[in-house]
Amino acid sequence: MIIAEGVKHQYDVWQGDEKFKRTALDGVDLNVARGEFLVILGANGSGKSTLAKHLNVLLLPDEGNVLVGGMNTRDESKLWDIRTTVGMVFQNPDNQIIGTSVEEDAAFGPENKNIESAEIQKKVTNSLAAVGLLSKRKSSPYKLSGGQKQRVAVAGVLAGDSDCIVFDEPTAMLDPVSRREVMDIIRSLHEAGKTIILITHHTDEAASADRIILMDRGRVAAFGTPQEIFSKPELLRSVGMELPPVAELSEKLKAEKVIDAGETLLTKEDLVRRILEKKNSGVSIKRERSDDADLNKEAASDADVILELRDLKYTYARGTVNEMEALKGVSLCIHEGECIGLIGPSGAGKSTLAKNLNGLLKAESGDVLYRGESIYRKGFRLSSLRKDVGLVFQNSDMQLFCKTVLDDVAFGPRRMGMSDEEAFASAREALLLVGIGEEYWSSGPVDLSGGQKKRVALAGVLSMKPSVLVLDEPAAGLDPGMKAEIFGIIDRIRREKGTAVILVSHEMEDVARYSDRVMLLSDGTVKLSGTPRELFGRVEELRASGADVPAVTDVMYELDQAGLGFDSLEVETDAAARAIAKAIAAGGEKR
Amino acid sequence: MRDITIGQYYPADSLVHSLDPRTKLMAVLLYIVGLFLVKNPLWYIPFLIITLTEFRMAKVPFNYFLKGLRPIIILLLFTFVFRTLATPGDVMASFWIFEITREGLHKGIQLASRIALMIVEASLLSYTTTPKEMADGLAEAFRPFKKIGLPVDEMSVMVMIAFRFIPVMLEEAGELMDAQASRGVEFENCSVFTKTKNIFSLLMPLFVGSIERSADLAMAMEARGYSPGRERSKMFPLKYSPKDRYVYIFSILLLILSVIGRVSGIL
Repeated sequence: MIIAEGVKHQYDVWQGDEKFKRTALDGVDLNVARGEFLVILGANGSGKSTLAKHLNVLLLPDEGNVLVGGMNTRDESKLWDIRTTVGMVFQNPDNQIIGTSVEEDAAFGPENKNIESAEIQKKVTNSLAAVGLLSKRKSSPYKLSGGQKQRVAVAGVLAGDSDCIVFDEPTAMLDPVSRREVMDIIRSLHEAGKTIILITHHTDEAASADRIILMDRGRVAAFGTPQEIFSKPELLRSVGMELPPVAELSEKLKAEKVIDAGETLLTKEDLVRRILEKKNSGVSIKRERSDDADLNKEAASDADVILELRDLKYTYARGTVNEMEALKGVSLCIHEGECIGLIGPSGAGKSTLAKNLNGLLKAESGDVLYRGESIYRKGFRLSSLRKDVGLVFQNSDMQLFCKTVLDDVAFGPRRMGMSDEEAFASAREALLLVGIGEEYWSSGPVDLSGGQKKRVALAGVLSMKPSVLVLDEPAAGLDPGMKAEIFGIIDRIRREKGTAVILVSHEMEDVARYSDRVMLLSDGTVKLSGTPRELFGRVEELRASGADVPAVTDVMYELDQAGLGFDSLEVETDAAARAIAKAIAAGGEKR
Repeated sequence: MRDITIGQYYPADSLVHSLDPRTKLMAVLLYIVGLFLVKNPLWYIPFLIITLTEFRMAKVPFNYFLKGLRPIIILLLFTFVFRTLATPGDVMASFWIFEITREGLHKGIQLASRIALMIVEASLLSYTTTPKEMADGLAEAFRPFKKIGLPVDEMSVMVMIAFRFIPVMLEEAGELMDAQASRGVEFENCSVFTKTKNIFSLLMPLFVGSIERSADLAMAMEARGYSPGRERSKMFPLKYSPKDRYVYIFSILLLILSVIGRVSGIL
């Protein structure tokens, strides 16, 4: 249906006043069959989005050809036909919804084609029903969740009668619930016969595809079924990708000799089934006993308390129609050097809590004690609190506003009353700490890549030498390689400076891996809290509150439900593999 | 800023919601002309009754309006006080350098009620008309000017996008303020001058952000087959129904009565 032959594409890049070409695609071949579910997988900057934009004539190749249903994208007379055939859903839901209500947006495409009103109404109704948003047809997009907004975008494409839908990282900005919503829609569209091209760097989303194209620096690095691609972990790592968590667990289980070598299991269902077969076959598995030492560190209970929240309550817009109780009594202690993971669905109050920590919002009741002193006390200097409690926001574009990188990072310390000399020294130190080399210091923040912006934004807060660092989704939109880098930096800061970290995230794997303690915030209160192992063991409660558990925990939970007994559920792949092996062995011995 | 309900659509299934936007625009225009013809504030009472009836018919709770009124009240009070004190005439009371005159009081009440009624009526229009309908209604009203080269249809898409992104931009401005405040920029506890300066410094990043957004949006629109100048159809084309005729008749009647009243000196 779609054929690309030797597609090359270069962008003009400006550095200062000099223009030079950057190659985004360097001879890409692609062949998509009708009804296929194809995933284009690759790190940030591997050229996958550029490739996607060639498929519906948003870009034209410098060399080579793209054919859509036999039509060459260079043929201007076929432009509208091609755009009708191939629809596109973009990453940022806010930048692609045009209508001021859900149904108006769905109608935008058909209206552009100048078809009759009755026909448009029918198409809009059908497409909204297909994404489950018929009841919201009159709502304003502004009032929808991220997942719902992406579903509106999908409905818009469906109403345009596209046979093929290209999704350009549609879940990059979504929480787990919304992510699942969107992935479910994508799968159901595939089942309904649509051709799906999904661009992503989430390997777990790629597992259910028919085929995967692995991109690396503008070229196709590998090409095959998920089975084939994910059985080559070294190749994946060399292009900045990782195995999906379930595949990694299955690799570990092979090493533990629980499942047979030679096959890679990619979905939770397959893996659970295979393990249970082992259990039922009653084969005793020989395995060396190893000590299952509890790797979990205890929360630093005696360390100094930096910040304490006492029964904090906050309500937005009290006394108006938009009144919303965001925090309904939250208490929390933050000790030096610890990392607290904060999870919960969108709208649970996580951001509100973060903004209360440095006095951006003032609680209605309750108290915030900073090193034992109330920040609401008269004469308390909020600026010293803001210097010491650094907030790193999710959208780094919002945080970078100076002309050069160095100026931007020095902005905070200068504002906080350091001399220019001190401020710049601190800025240089922070930039080096996050791995931004001197060659970037005088360039404008706008010219940086996404990963670099994140690091500069982090440096801009680190330069104030905070003792508490609040990170809102620090890894959102980053590929596994960059994500590991960011978390490496955060870990180093904790170890070297004793900085406490509050990690607000939708990625349960990250939270489980990097936090000492995890708190589930839901509906304005702390529903659960404990070590990652304690907390993620309570699968039902977490799910009921709109949160999730790491994939390996989920596998163990399913096994547990099926009768394979565990003492407790694990959150890390190694520990999970050992626990499963142990349980199977125990089951075998009983027989 | 978020508390302002004026200008936000209030979804409901009512007679007023179902009227053609052109009818509503015209009716509001005539109502406002009528307001300006009135001299004696007592005659604003029938206007108020009409508006309240309209709220009832539109199934919009009047409370919804009142809750969003807070920022406007200051404007009304200021208008009232200024007009009352600044009009010369029979002095009723005086204190320090201020004098309250009979004429001033009259003018103050007149002006404040006029503005208040205008805002109420215009709010009702926005509660019952989606931005899209408003844009389409305006485009239709300006349709005759298309002949002299006014890009009527493109303007209607522009208006719609503007409405769509007002809340998004407000949210972005809030985020920017938080990000800057976290790094030591003061927006509270500082002089009005500093505060204004700091708020102005938000404009640049906001501007850069919206340019990037507009590039994204243009791409998304293009991908969905939009091309300026190309003929577009409508999901819900504007169509007059018998209800609209009654509203036109009523509005014109009201205007005629007002004109007669004004000319004969009753109002």
